[in-house]
Amino acid sequence: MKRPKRFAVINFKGGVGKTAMVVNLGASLVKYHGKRVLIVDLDPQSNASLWLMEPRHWELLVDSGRRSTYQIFQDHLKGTKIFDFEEAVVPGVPWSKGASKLPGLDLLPAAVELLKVEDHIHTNKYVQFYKFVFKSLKPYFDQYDYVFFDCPPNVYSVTQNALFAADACLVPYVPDYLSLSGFRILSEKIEEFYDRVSGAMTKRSRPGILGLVVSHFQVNVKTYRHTIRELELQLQELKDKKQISPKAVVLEPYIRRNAAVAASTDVHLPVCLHDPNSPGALDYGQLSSSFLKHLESFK
Amino acid sequence: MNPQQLAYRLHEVARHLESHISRLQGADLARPISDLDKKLDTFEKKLNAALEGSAPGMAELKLLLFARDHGRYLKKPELQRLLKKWFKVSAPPSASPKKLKDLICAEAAKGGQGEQTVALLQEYLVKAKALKQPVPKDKVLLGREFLRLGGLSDEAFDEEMEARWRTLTNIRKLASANGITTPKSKSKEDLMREIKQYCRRAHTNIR
Repeated sequence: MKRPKRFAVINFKGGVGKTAMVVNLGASLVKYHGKRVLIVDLDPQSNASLWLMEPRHWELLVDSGRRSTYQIFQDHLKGTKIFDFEEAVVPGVPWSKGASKLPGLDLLPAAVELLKVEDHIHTNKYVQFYKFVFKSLKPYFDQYDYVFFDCPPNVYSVTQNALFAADACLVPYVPDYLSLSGFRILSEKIEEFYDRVSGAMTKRSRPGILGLVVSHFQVNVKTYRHTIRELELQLQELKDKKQISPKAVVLEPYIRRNAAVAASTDVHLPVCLHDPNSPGALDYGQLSSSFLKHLESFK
Repeated sequence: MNPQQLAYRLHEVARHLESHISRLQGADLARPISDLDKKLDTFEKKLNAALEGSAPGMAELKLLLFARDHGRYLKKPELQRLLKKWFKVSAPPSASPKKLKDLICAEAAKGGQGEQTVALLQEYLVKAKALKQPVPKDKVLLGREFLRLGGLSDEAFDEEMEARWRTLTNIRKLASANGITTPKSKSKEDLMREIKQYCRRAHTNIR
């Protein structure tokens, strides 16, 4: 498998830290490693967009969805050509007092209108609906070292667009049994999807789950260690049965539950800018290093 | 000649012999009768063996018992123990492993327990193989062991821990590779109890 650079951050369980991971891993890669990163927000809740932009700026910019990922779907569904990447992308987020605070971290925001997309696709039964995002963003991927797709908490059409556009998947994971059982189902769904579309992925390696990131970790909760070990054992079982990529690992460090991360959303900053010495910033900083190290194992 | 033709022929010979038995006195037939008697002995043994072998499970039982790979798990003491456990039969101490295997087959055939004995033997072999395996060092293998141990019954778990993982070093290795803390203050019994608890949990939770 070629070294991946585009990642779908996916889990159909809500509240597991998908957006926190996209924002903070992306920001850490820029801040500590000088990478160029694009965040593609595909969640109708627009949490990544609202984390990195003030609400009024976001509202003004997306202009009822015209300058957002929603317009990509609209163009494909209606046959229009309104989406303009250069116009929609917000470079160097976050901004403060008219200046970028993190040049290198770009955001393609989402809009609430994305909620309508699922209905549209299902009503009209578009055969290759999962290619929309890939087709529209393909010309721009080369401008970035890494692209992260922040997915909604489901595996419906919008998420399938992220899966198709990505080279690999990252799964945020909360250490409890429900997440463990959910992960097994999620990995099956992802493999099923790639089985179904493999014919449409010409000249591309088959993507798969590359890493799991444990979030909301608490050192003093004894059961978390056992649940994480069970996740590792589950991963090994799936590898033994060839139901998951042999490259899939649980990335370290585990992201500790930390108030600074929550507080950083209030000020629309990634935690590495809001409180660089907090445990959250340290964990994501180290995660960015282990993430890059893991990628080095690919050709 | 097929078995049916043979049966017909033997039947006709027997009938003929019986009807003329009073006329058959003297030494003329003594030698042929003795020869045929010996040959019939051999034939009867082969016939019985074939009949035992065709009972359900018997062919597989023989295959498992006599497989070269299983030799190290089926030595004389083990075979004697299995014979006693499964059939309540004690073999003479001088019986060779081959004789003991034959006895197991004969007892299984006699009771029509070929298939049940195969199941018991397979279960025994899985356990015996596990017990002979060296303790793994690698984290992935220790994880597999942990999951497998989680699926054992109380009795089998205790037996395996005692036979294979008995040293504190091994137990610590198994525990720490599987997310169980191993401070010096934790006793061997505490560690075994935690291993049992968490490997059972992992075995239940993981598919």
